[in-house]
Amino acid sequence: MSETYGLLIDYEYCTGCQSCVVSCKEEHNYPVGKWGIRVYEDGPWNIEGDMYNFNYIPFPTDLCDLCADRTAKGREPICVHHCLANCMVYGPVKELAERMASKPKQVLWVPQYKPLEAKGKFVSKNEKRRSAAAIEVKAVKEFRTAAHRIDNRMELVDIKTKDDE
Amino acid sequence: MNQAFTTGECLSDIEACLKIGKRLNPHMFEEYDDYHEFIDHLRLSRKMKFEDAKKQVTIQRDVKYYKYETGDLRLDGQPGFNTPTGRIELYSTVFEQFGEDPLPYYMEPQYSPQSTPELLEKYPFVLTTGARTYAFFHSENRQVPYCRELNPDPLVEINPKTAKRLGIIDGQWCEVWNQFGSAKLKAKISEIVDENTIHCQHGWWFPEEDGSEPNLYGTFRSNVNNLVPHFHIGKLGFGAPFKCLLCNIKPIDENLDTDMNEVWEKFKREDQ
Repeated sequence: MSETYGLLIDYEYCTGCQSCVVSCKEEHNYPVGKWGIRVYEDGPWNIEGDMYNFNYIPFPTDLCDLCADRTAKGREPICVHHCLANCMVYGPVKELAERMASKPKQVLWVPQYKPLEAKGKFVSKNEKRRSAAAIEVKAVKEFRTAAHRIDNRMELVDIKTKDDE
Repeated sequence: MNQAFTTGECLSDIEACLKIGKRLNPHMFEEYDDYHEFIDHLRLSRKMKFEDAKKQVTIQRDVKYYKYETGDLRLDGQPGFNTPTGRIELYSTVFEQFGEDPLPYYMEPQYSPQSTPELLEKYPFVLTTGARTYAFFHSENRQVPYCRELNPDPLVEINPKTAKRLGIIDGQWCEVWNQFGSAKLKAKISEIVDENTIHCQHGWWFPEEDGSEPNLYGTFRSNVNNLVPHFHIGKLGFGAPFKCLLCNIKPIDENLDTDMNEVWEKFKREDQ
């Protein structure tokens, strides 16, 4: 299996400038309403006293392909290239995980481009599953309902068929 | 110049400056054959070429400390600060020469809880305007879909406690007004502002709208400058009271949300 790549983001230094957001849209030509990466603004909310939580956290979406075209040519993904705070790194997850140990307030993302397509057709792994048998059934003109599953309020409801009309 | 600037016939600021400069004052622009030389000089002090800087995207210049000791602050290369006396001037000899007050001073704003307490009943909040956003520079970039999308509507920032008291919910359209005028902006509830302060974004207009009279791209609908009076200036004659006025705010039941698809259809690049 080929090496897994990801984005390591040091969100202690993300300023929320949105350069990654805009450069990604330019690179992939995504219209308004579609993004490859976005920046989540968490705060400001009070922790206690004068201490506040106020973080900007960039996160790749399901339209992030880690700039496959660029990285194939040995270039960085466009968001990493344009990050004004220099707080994003692209690389093999193994290397990034080691870097991640060096300081707190970092996040490692491994995005998947269009996951439904990437996963392919659904194949069940349940070996015990069986198909329904083809058995003959008879039609009736009413069905039984039980409101809230209380047996003493069971009712019979007539069904009008086309023939009745 | 680069991909981000390239749209239709548009020029970057630098290219436009050079072109206009070459027509109006050709003698001052003789040394620049093209905008590369202009930007190398103007922005990079000829220490670097724009084409090289471009590849690096961000450049941190080396920072020197204690420049007053090494003479790096003064044109004559001598130690000291770049002032007539060579010292840090808390008493400005230059202002004194101009006949101005050489010392720092404080003036209470013309309209404030201190100077006009009688207005507080009608206008109980301090109005500040003009905080910078990443998407725009003053009135620029409202027509660039990717920038506009970061901040589609004109925002008014209001403290959660104040918003709760006035019945304003996050994202609700509000009217902000004072004795000079009013503007409609969308509430962003945030602890970033004080309970007694209202912050409004400035420079708003709507390039996707009709530009003919009387609409004029909706320029006056959400324009916080409607609330800012003219010629109420400081002692040195500079500025305007953009950050020290009084105002009131109330929720309204209109929805003036920008339709981003309309902006996109109108202003996307030809190749998009």
